Amino acid sequence: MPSSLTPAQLTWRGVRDGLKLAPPLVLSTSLYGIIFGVLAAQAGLALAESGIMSATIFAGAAQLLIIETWARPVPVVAVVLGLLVVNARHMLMAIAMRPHLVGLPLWKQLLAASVIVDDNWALMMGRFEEGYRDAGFILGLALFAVPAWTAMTLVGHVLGGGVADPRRWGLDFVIVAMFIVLLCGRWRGLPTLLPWGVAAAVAVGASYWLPGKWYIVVGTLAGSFAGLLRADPEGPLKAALRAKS
Amino acid sequence: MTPDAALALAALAFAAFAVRASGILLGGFIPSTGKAGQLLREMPGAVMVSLAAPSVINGGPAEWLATVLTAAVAWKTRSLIGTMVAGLAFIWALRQVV
Repeated sequence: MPSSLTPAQLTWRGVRDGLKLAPPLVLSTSLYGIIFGVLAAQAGLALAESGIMSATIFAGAAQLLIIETWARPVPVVAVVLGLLVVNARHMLMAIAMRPHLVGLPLWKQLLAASVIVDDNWALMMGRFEEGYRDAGFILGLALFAVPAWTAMTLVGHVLGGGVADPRRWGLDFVIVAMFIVLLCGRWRGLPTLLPWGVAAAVAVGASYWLPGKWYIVVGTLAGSFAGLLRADPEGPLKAALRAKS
Repeated sequence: MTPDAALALAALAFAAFAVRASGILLGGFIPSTGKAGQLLREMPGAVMVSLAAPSVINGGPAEWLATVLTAAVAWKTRSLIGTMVAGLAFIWALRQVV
């Protein structure tokens, strides 16, 4: 819980603290950005579309889902729904961070929340829980990560035109690998098989019977509701923190 | 850029910010406990499984074996980049031989 003795802060000093820990995040974000750019080019996005998306959304998993759904004309409702489903966790993360920001002007609270992604949020929360009070830290972590994500998306997009068949290089499997490692962090023992098994079975079945990417929505809903039949593994903060540990 | 693409990008940019901001603005009101909170927490895992399962299951022996090997690496290392590189190597190698 936040200390009541020290008020919440958002200062350049905090930004500098974040910058010191940023290099590994910027590196992994850059590599991931290249992969996203390649896949976006494969999915038929224009260079400007990929770049604007990375600069304004800054969320890898959601962007991968969006380019999977991308078509001409663009299905606006479907891509926005996809983002809302994948990024719903950002809302939970902001809820968990809010008690540590209370006392700051609203715009500073929103600024800190606006750069939330899995890794910088986990680092920020770790600091807050040690009694550190400066939300500038998360901005320092993001300061170079957002431009790097955008720039490397453009690099990957340009390279992507040269990778004729993504299957030939196994690039189609990179997304699967990413989801596997994220899922490992979310594993909570055998009961986890209930929501995930239902999601997998329904998604695979729906992929035969439903057009387009509807199997993702159907599988997600079926799996999420099936998950309610197991005991709630833990609260949102603890769950998200453990997922990143 | 076509109008539909511009509209989609604007809506996505707004939605991405709105989701993050909503946690701050509505933080006191949104149920993060109980069944509603649990449903929100079940979603990310379910969406990832729903995305990955069809491309694995509908793939073939190369995809199945690569998934098992990649999961082993993921479980051991918990490294995002490391697992993505390993997965790329596994699927590339297996598609040569299977």
